[in-house]
Amino acid sequence: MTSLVPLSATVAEPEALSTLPTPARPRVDPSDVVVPDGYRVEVVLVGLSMPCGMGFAEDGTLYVLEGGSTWPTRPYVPARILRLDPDGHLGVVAEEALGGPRHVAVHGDALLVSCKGGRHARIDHIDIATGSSRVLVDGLPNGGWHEPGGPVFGPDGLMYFAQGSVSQQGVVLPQGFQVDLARHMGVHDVPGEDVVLTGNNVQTYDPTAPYPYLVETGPFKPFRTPARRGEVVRGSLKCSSGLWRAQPDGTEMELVAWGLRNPYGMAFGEDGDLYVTDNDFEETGDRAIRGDPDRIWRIDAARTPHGSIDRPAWYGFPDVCGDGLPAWHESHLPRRGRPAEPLIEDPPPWAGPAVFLEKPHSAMAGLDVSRSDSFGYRGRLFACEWGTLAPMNSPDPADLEHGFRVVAVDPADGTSESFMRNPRPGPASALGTGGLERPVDAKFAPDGSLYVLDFGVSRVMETTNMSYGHTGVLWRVVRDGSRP
Amino acid sequence: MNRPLLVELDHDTVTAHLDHVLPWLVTTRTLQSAYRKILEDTADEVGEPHIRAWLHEIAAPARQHEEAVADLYRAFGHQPPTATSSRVTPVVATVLGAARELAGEAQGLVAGARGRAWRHLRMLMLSNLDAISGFAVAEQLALALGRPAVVDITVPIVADKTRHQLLIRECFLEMASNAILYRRDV
Repeated sequence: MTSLVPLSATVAEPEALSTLPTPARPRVDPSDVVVPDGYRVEVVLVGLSMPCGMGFAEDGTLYVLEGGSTWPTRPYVPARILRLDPDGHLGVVAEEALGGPRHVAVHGDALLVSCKGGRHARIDHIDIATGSSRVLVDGLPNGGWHEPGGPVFGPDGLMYFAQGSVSQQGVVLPQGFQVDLARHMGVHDVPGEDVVLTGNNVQTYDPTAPYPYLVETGPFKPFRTPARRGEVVRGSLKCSSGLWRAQPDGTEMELVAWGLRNPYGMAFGEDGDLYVTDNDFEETGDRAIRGDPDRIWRIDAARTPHGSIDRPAWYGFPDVCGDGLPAWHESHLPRRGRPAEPLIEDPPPWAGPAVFLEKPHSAMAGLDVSRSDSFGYRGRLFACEWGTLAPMNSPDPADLEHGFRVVAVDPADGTSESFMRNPRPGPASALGTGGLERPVDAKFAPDGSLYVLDFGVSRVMETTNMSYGHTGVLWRVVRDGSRP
Repeated sequence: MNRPLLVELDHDTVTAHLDHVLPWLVTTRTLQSAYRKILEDTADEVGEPHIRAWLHEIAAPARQHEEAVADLYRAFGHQPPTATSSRVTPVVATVLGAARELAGEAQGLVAGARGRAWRHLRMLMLSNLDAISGFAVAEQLALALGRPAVVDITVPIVADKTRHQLLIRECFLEMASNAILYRRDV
């Protein structure tokens, strides 16, 4: 195993967790976190900067990813891949560039790491023995809002991975323009199959112009480029909002599905099915959509033989909400902002319904499956809910409280239980407690305990969202009576 | 269970990070002081009554923003410089402001602009942009170090100064033809 770059990591004295030198998160206290009777919460790491994902090796070594530029894009704090050895030693394995690591899978002697990248997301292969890195998959359209999912490995031995949409609402728009327009001029969504456009465009203003003026933009087009009615946009293997599978070396890439808006969490169940979390549209701006639920999809096409997919499954982006209703349906008409219009003429058949629908703006994120009787909940999906960005992205006061927890979902019947949460809704920093902020990833360790990665403090106001470095936490949940 | 690990939150690392912030706070103060000085000088030089009034309007907040740098020190957990220890900063700011005015003079003359006040408007625009970056960078450092009290100070200042920047740019561009084609001052 490659030697680690040293990192300042010190064992916390008991009182240190209540007097942290980060005023944004001055204390961390597992007793402020609620879990079911028979389980207890421990603290593993405190002070992570914008952690996004993690993965275990079979021997219990844990790799934790600090994301670099995340949500929002600044500040950048080094995008590091950390390794926590079973003996408690922590160090840096490697460092990635700006839009840093999001997910990691330990595969043989390598780490396969998805990175958000600049205008294209990629998957890197990092040799554990030498630390050397090479790109396995590149060119997944990005440069915008949404995130990579995976890689995860299926029972067929193939690598499954995803990349969310470039645009937030189906068309590149100026809301929060530092994310896309300011940094990535000219980026746009790419469909997973040929689509015919309705010619509906979205009128908005151009915040990058010296004097903001009205412009028209169409779907699958760069900002300021309108679509024409009947225009055909060619589909591409490397589309946005896509989900693929490939050999572990990145070859024989096949598009399994598209139309997934932000497929951040991916996991295979013990039943062999692939489950994917996905986030809802926002109720704001010039294509505003109300009450779109967060969801977990089961990707049925992942059960088909490799190489057999003639037409990828379509999960609705940019025109259909998580409940299967069109984005312009009466129930999705916005209370603020301009309502959506159809973008794709004669859209593909919808691959839903979802196995689980969650409240809007819960921001479902990382996902894993309980595979042990010793932990319990066997077969349940443990999904992190990063938590709302309201009031920025929704005017509904109820949305202010959604998320900030880990739910256990039964994919068989779509029911759920709030497994890990604060005593009251909301992040700990708003409640004045030492509990959860924004759970971003969940992984079961080889010993059966559940690790929950907490992104840290991300404050949201009407017009801004600001995230604080050195406030991330790694929690561990163990069942009483299990191995310490 | 293993005891929790603190990542980059030990006393030495935190102290080192906070110490790294100090030179930037000195820079922020210097940039804002230089901008304020050029603003006051230019506002007095401008003859056009509307622009003169607008520049005087933004001079008061410029002074408040300059004083707010002391609050930034405190929000980072540092003592602001005392009058004695901070004597160097106003001197540097004065020198920087004067140097920028001189540079603006020279560049403006070469460019064919006869009006001294208009040439100073140009330097004022560049100077405010620099000062905005001073506060905006302090904000990024605070976000990285988990210090929201700093952000609470910088966000309204950066917003104010960005609006002032629009005003200064509009005045500068509006009077450009007057300064260059008609060889008149503002």
